Amino acid sequence: MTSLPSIIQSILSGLADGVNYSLYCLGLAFVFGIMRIINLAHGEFLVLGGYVAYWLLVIWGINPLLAMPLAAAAAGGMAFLSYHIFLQRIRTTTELNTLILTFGLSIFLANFFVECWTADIRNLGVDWLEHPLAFHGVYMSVGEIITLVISLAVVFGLHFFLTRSKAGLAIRVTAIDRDAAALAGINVNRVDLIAFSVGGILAGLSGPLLGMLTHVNPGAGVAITIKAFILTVLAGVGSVMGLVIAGMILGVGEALTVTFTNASYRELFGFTLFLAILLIRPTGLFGKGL
Amino acid sequence: MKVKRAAVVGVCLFVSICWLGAALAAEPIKLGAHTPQTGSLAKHGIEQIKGIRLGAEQFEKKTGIKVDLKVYDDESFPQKAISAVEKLAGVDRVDAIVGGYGSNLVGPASEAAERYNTPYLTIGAVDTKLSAKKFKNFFRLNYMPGYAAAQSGAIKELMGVKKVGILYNSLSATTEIAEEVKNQLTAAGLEVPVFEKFEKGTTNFKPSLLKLRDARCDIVLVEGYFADYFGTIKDAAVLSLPLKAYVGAWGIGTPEFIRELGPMSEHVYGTSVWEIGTAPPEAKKDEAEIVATYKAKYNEEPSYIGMLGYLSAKYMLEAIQRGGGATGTYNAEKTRDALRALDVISPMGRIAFDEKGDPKYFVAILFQTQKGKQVVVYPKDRSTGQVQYPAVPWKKDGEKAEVAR
Repeated sequence: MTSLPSIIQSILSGLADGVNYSLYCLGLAFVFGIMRIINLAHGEFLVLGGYVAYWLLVIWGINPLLAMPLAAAAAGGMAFLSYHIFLQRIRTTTELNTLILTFGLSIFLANFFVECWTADIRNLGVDWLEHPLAFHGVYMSVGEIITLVISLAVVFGLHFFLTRSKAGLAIRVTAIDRDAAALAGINVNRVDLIAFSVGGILAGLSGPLLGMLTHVNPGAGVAITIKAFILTVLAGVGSVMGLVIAGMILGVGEALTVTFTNASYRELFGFTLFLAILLIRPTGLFGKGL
Repeated sequence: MKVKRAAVVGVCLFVSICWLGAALAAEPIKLGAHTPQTGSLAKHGIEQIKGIRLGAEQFEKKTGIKVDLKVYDDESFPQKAISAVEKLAGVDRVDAIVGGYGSNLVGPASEAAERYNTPYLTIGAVDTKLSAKKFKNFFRLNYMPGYAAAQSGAIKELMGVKKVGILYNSLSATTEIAEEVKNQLTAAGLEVPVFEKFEKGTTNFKPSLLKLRDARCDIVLVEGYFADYFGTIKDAAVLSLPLKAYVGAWGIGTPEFIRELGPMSEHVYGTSVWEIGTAPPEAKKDEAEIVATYKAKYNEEPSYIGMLGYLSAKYMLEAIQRGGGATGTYNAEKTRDALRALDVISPMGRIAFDEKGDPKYFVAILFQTQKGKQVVVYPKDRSTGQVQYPAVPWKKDGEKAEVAR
């Protein structure tokens, strides 16, 4: 018999998971929304951020939270180079080419991680961040609370950037109509480069948080990319805030599925929801043009 | 004149025989290996291949026979494992194959080896179903019943609990050991109120762990892999779960595990086939030699997977040698016969194979991490220290695990 505190605890852990999912997925959704590129290397950019934070933690004892800017810069730099060197050249060809290229990039990066950091699982845990706090029998760690706040802040920050800044406006216009944007004097190629780099930065920001809450390893990127893709479809293209709500639905749904049935049905819930949304509302729960 | 001619002929004949002998002796043994060096099982595969390479090098040094070792990365995927075996046996024409990690990879890979009539010795597949087909080429150094017995034996004899919660990864080997341990525990009169399967890649274990709290389980048994232990221990710590012990299966309590989890690795239990210092008295000398050469080569101590990799290469190479692999008269049947005739005391205990290729005498050990060291606590005759119970990783030293529910 499941107790009420356990149900509340499950919902809370699902909410926290969901908000983190939305942060993990933000870069992929952003790039897909602006450029119509499904970046299959998104998870690897995120893992790169995690490894940068791990290095800083191990070598200089820098807290993973303080390592976030550098992790974001490293992943953003990698995304910038990837776009500048490879993607830009095939951008105008069939969309499938970018899919294959980013898939190749993900394999390259995963193997690069093995060479640099071996295949071992790496933990970015810091004692005080793992300290549990109790609220009437419901527990959360300090790190989980901080991660939740950071995730929400980044999502809201991106939302305001896109809706309130000139650069955000340029990106949105380019996403809606490239030709019109070019006629209006916007350098669309530059917007693409910036958008892809921002996607990398968003992924890199998430890396240290992933390492703190769970772990990083060279193969972790694939699962993140899949989860991010599911969430992008669930939320619908163009809705940054929708990502948070879709993430919460996914996170809480997964947690309650485990609570009331079995842990082996967790992924089934996500994929069933994914298929159901595709059938009932192909544009996603909050899908609209940017 | 005749004597002179006879002497010349004799010398020529002698030189020819020597040359032929040298040519035959120079025939290298062709050993194939496939392990996951990338993908989710890469960590284990890389450790394994280190042991295999060292085993081949030591064999070369001791016998003077060159070993042509062909290695392929199966990328942790079954189809790649099949391709690796097909390439090794069909294209590279190796004499025999070692390696493989994970029952879901070794199963199809060993079927491919059987099709090519190539002896196959693995260390990383414990699923009992793998030997049910009675392939004549299939051999393994460890298998599941030895692990399950160590876990259930320790729970019954050392911990004396009533309720056990079992969480297990849905992969075949972990599912099988979970079911076997559950059967053994319930047969002994213990309750298993939580028996929960989770998918590979799960990161949020809290909802599953809460079931243990609701069912008032005394201990948790996690049949999984490195990442699963990470997740369950971290989440159990956040929930401050009132448990008395945390027992894992494979890959827990390793030096890497302790390095990454630090104090949160304390007091966990795990199974192993070998740890430094646990070799039987007859094999202590071998153990010391292997550990020393491993450390000299890789600048680190071997894990049990590294040790198993070494032993698999050693025994397979010796069998190939007996099968004529070094003289150009290789015979797979003789190699299989040599493996079937094997009966040695190794650092991991006595090794001999039954008619299905399973290790007849395999028994795992159960250790507990204490102050960053692995202390063998079960079976008692191989123990290297006293068990600390009750104690879980998320409680500080001296703090009782039992808290008010």
